[in-house]
Amino acid sequence: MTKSKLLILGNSHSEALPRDPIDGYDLEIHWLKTKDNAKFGTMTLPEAREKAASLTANDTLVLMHLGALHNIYGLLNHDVPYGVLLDDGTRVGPEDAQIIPVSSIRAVFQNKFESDKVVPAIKEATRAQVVHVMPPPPKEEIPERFRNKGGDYHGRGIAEFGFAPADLRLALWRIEESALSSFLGKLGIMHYAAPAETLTATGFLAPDFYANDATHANAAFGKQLMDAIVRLSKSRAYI
Amino acid sequence: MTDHPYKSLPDKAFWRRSVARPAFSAVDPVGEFSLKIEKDTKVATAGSCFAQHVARHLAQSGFNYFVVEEGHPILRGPVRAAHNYGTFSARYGNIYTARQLRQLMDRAYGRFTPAEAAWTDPDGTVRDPFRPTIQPGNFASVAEMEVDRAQHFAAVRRMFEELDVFVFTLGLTECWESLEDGAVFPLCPGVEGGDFDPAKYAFRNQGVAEIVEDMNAFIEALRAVNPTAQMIVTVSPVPLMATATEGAHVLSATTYSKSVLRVAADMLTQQHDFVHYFPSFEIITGPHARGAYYADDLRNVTEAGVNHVMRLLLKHATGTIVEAPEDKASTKAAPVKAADRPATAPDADEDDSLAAARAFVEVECDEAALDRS
Repeated sequence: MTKSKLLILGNSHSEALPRDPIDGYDLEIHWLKTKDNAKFGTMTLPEAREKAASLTANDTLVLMHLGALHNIYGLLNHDVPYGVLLDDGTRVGPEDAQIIPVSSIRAVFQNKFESDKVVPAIKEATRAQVVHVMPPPPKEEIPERFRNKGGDYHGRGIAEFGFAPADLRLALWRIEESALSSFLGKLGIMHYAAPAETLTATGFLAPDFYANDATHANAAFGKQLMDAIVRLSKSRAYI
Repeated sequence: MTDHPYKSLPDKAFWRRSVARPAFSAVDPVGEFSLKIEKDTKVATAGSCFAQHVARHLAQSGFNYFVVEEGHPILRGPVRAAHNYGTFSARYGNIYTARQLRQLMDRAYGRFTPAEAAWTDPDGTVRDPFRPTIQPGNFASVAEMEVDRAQHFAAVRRMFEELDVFVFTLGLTECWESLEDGAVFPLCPGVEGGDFDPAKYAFRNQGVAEIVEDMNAFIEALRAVNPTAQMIVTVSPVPLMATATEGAHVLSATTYSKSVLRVAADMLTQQHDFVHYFPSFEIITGPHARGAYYADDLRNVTEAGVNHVMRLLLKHATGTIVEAPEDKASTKAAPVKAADRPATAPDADEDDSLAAARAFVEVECDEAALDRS
């Protein structure tokens, strides 16, 4: 029996995925090198397009490229503190912070997605079914030791900014998830967020799935995510 | 030969010398304008669509366009402009009528709280009835709208208290009001949100006395919080989009509306030495322009027309001489959004906080390659 191909074009988050053989699939995982000066990456965009073009309609292509804006905008405290209001009226973010309407933040994310060239290029190149997987949701507790890593940025250490409140980080992840789902839907790409079993009751990444940093999930998460990807591929639920 | 009063009058008093003979871009109908704007003078703006042009040009001309509600720094580029930050000094949207301006002042200082509840769209999102188009995508909830409104009013209070010059463009006399408490809306309920109900809302077409009364109430309140504030009043040359005056033709209704506003503006300048009239209406609509300052829709003003207005405003208020552009008859309407820095690259608009966060995340992403387990 001919095996289907499962091509995963990922980023740092795809490093958590297992590389073990999967019954019925030819698995290939690459870290997309989307910038010329990127330190890491195993496949350039032209190579990825060529690879995507070689797939058939029975194959599955998983993209892990967009979805990290919640970290850019909300992992660290901003110099001008801000928060959002949840649907139930709960205020999240630093106390007394300026509240930004959710639709404005959503528009910022949408604007960034629309400037992306990678996802449309890959989608256009392939006949395979395409699923996009978002980075995992935030960690409720980020160990203090990560505050002092990474050196200075513009002369200021991470400790000087500090990590943003957990509820704001989760709210931003959810806004981005909603905006990304809408953006991908217009491109005919299925959006997948995270396996339910890896989350806490309130929607954070469960501590059992923390990698040894502030933003990534571990190999146990990767195993759950790979199982979910295979289930999606087999069910063709996204077709 | 007898002498008479006209003999000693300057050229500007004569139609042939000052309107018919000069090139139309050289016509300068500013009679007297005693207000002086320096580079550090805080100039705030409000009004109808035409006032957006004044704001845009002030920002581009190196003057101190006083914006108190710029939007959070993460809202940059096209999102900031689309969400109406910087379009005017605060995010109040278009203020078409004198009654609306008076109401803004009273609401900002808690002297008036309209009974009108938030407007909910069919998709469940929420609009502010008094700024129904201010938030693209609308507010997520009534609570979010109320928080944003409270932040807006704080900014408005700061603007009124700290500005040096307030430029207000009178746009319309026609408006729609609540029958419950007289609150007026920038747009008729039902046009952009809300549901029109003749039992709740009524049409109102303001006359001269009412406009002067509203403006005087506003001016008194402004001077109470900012005793040295100066005002420039203009009349928008943009005709009515539509009239709700029963039986009226929109052209006649426009003539009525602009005439009333022009008379009211003049009365205000006669009553207050700190209120100055600037004739942008005359610059655009005067016969010298032969209609050339209107776009193809005969309603919006072309960029050449806006340039003429702003060139004269800068000349008379700041002493800055700007070369007149060629009399090119462009029929393209001037853009109506405040200038904003374009997002030339995905990361070009990041401030220190975002740059640090991006650097941190990128380091973490790189480390993921080294720390695979």
